[in-house]
Amino acid sequence: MRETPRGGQQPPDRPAWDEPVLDVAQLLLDRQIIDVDGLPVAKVDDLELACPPGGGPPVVTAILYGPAALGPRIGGRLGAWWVAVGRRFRPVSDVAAPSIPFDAVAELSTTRLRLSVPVEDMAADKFSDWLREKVVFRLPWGRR
Amino acid sequence: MRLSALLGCTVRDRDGVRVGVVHDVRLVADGPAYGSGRPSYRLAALVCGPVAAFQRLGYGREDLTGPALLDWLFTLLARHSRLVEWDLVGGVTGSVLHLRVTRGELPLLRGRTTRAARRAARAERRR
Repeated sequence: MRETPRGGQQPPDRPAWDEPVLDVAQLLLDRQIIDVDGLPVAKVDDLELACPPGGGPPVVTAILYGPAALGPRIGGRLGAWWVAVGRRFRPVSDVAAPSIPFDAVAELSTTRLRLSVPVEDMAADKFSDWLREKVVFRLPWGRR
Repeated sequence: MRLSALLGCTVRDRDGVRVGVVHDVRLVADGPAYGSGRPSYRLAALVCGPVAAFQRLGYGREDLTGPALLDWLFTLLARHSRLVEWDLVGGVTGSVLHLRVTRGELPLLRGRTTRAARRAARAERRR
């Protein structure tokens, strides 16, 4: 097994999925995502689907999270408001919903959704950095 | 395409009869492999019906049963819910999915709740 920066263990092989058949709203949406070290990353707000190049039904390509992903799911005025609020808290150059390639999922079962990469590699960390730099550091004693 | 674009869509059959609203999406891990070699999750079917609450509580799953009263209640609510294979979707107009088959040809979400299945179970018990 490969050692991760925080001492976690990354599985060397990729076995078959624990859930060969799953109902998304039941087992995937709103599920807490944890990284390879067990740290929380985000919650699953939406999924990105794409048709494979060879044709056939759409397949899941990425997990989307954040207000820009949850807003359309809520729908209506509340959903639009949620997206607008989320947009104001994000950098101008980064307006799309952050995504995690589904290939980065190491474990998916009824009880957990664990990634094979550390949280530092996720787009969520860019938001944290931006929030720290633009908001927290500007507060009195924010740099302590 | 986003999953949220499918959830909440109205489903109509070949004759224009309303089947229900998409409450859930069933994925099967047998699509083209990801870069890691694992099979991708393919969109296999849509769960459609008039009531979503039971589905979100897990009562759409065949392996989840009881307590008996809740099972009865949610089974009653789910009696019109159908499973629509993705291949049966003929086209999309706005937020309406048009099927290539009639409503009666679609399997019920919980097969064991069909009248035929209940009759078969009763016959089995009598034996």
